[in-house]
Amino acid sequence: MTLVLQTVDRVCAFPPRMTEFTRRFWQGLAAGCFETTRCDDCERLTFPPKPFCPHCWSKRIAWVTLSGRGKLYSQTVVHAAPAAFQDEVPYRVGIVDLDEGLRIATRVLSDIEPKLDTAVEIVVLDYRDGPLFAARAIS
Amino acid sequence: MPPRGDGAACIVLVDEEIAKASGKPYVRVRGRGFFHEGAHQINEVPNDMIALVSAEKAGQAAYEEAGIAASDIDLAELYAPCTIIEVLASEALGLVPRGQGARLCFEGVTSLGGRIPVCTSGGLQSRGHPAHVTPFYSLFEVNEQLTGRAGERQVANARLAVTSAELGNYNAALVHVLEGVR
Repeated sequence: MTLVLQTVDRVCAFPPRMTEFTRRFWQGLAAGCFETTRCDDCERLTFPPKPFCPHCWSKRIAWVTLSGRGKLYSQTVVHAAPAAFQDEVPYRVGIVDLDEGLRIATRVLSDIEPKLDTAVEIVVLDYRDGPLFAARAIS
Repeated sequence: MPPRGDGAACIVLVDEEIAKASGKPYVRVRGRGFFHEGAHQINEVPNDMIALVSAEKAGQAAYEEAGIAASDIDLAELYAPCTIIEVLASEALGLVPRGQGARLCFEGVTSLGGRIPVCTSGGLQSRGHPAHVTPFYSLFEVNEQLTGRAGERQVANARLAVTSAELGNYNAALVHVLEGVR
């Protein structure tokens, strides 16, 4: 599934630290693909992607593509931000339960307060220096 | 959130015979419980984030070891840096019914003079939050209460108290039940 890309014409305020292992995630995201890892032994997913399984400690993991769809579990608006995000206040963050049964924390794109349990999708924020992701209500 | 402060606390742990021999009031550790849900902050396995399951399980273990029920507790000193956390931890530890914590706090049930005073020290917001010392600070407050030295904050006839400490988003909790011996 290909995610919607939104161009953001500036650099990330706090660029993610990319490692040899997570490079695949960020490159996939840049191409509109929301990926994570799944354990070959116990078959459980984890997010963010990890080189081991946090449930059974196996190192036999494989990359899988997520639907990028889920439900909004909680949300709030940040008015007092850490220095790096000072220029972006107020901004909305939330907790999303992905359809695959994973709970993630993410930016939420919405000018109005979204209802909890709203169906959301992950979109790619295409910054000048790389991609980030956010959730928005499925219209 | 309160700002982090500096602080120090000192707790003397001895065999009960030594405490008795001192001839002074002392506090006995009646029960202890610990639970870690295996995640930090937001658990990737969806759970009820306002149930504070670790506090609930650690509390049950501590009450069981002490051979008491939550309703036997006279006061509680909880690790609650935010207002909502005191409400949720009070509920998770069975001091007030689920979903009633905020209303009962507003009605004075958890105030000094209420049925179950919570955070007689003033709590982390007004007493102060020397982060890593805070759980010891809470034990100190309970010690003052159970030995009858809490002055204007004294809970009348306080005999059993519960304390909590946590990490993350109450992803882990350590709960103690303490008893004053006078």
